[in-house]
Amino acid sequence: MKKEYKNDIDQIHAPQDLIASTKKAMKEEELRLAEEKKVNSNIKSNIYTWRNVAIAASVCLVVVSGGIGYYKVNNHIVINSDVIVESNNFETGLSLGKIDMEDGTDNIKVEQFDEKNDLLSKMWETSSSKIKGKTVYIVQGEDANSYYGAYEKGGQYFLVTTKSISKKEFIAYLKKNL
Amino acid sequence: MSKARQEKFTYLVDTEAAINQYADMVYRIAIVQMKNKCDADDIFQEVFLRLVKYKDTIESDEHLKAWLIRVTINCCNKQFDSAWNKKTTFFENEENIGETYEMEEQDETVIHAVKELPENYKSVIHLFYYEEYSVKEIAHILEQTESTIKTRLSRAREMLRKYLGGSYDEERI
Repeated sequence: MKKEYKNDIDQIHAPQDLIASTKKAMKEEELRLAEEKKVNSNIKSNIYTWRNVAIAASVCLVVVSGGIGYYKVNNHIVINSDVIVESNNFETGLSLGKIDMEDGTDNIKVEQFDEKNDLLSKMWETSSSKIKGKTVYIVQGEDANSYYGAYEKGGQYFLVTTKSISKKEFIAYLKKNL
Repeated sequence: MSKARQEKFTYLVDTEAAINQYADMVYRIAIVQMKNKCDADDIFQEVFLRLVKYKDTIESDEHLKAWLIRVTINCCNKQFDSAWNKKTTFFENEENIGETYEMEEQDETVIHAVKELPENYKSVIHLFYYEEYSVKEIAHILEQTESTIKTRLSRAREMLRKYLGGSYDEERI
């Protein structure tokens, strides 16, 4: 049977016209696939480029936003001007606790307290500022160039009172000493 | 990529050389499997078009031959499964078939008997008796177990025995 079957099958050949038409179809398919590959490659390349641009832009945005956010969170100045602090509080030198002279200047006085007094309590009710990440309450005095700053540190309360210095100088002082 | 993996994929298929070398092999499988020449022609073309598409997956000459055989049989099975094919009968007589296949008119009892077998059995008989693959090789090509191939071969022989009558050699099991 095997021999007979082999003889039968040996007589079968693929028609030449079928082979020719198939070869032609194969060439067309090869060209089509090459073109498709080229198009896909261009699309991928463009997607890759735009993706990189998008990633870079996102990173920049995040970094800048983060930087701005960080700066805002850690440095945010609010000068409260609606709290009335009488200037004679400074002049009379009320004994409010430990006195610590800072910076060798008479225009700035720092006092330390174990607990909040009325003034401090009032100041704590105002809008807070952030200087170098630390919370401080800043109030403008009756005089244009007098400022009060209050903050808490190590369980102690500090009151900074100034006169005849600019806002810029006061903020610079706080930044240096907080 | 490791060197072994690189070497594995450096085999390049020359599709024109492949059709020149394997045209008869593919056509013969298609003719045995299908019920008519038209379907066999379609299968032939589909197989080589698929070769163009998937040639990068071919790893060697042996792989190419096995791949062509498997794809041809799969395409034939797919054709069989189509509803149109199930509902259609064909009117070609054997004399016309002989002329179209370019073969001399002779006793076609055996080939006719093989063509009457179920699809799964035809391919096993053809690969075993004509392509002279072992059971193990046939199992690998058709992605079946050896026991499945042996069973199909055994049943196919039984059916051929009944169809043809008389005895025939059962060598090469």
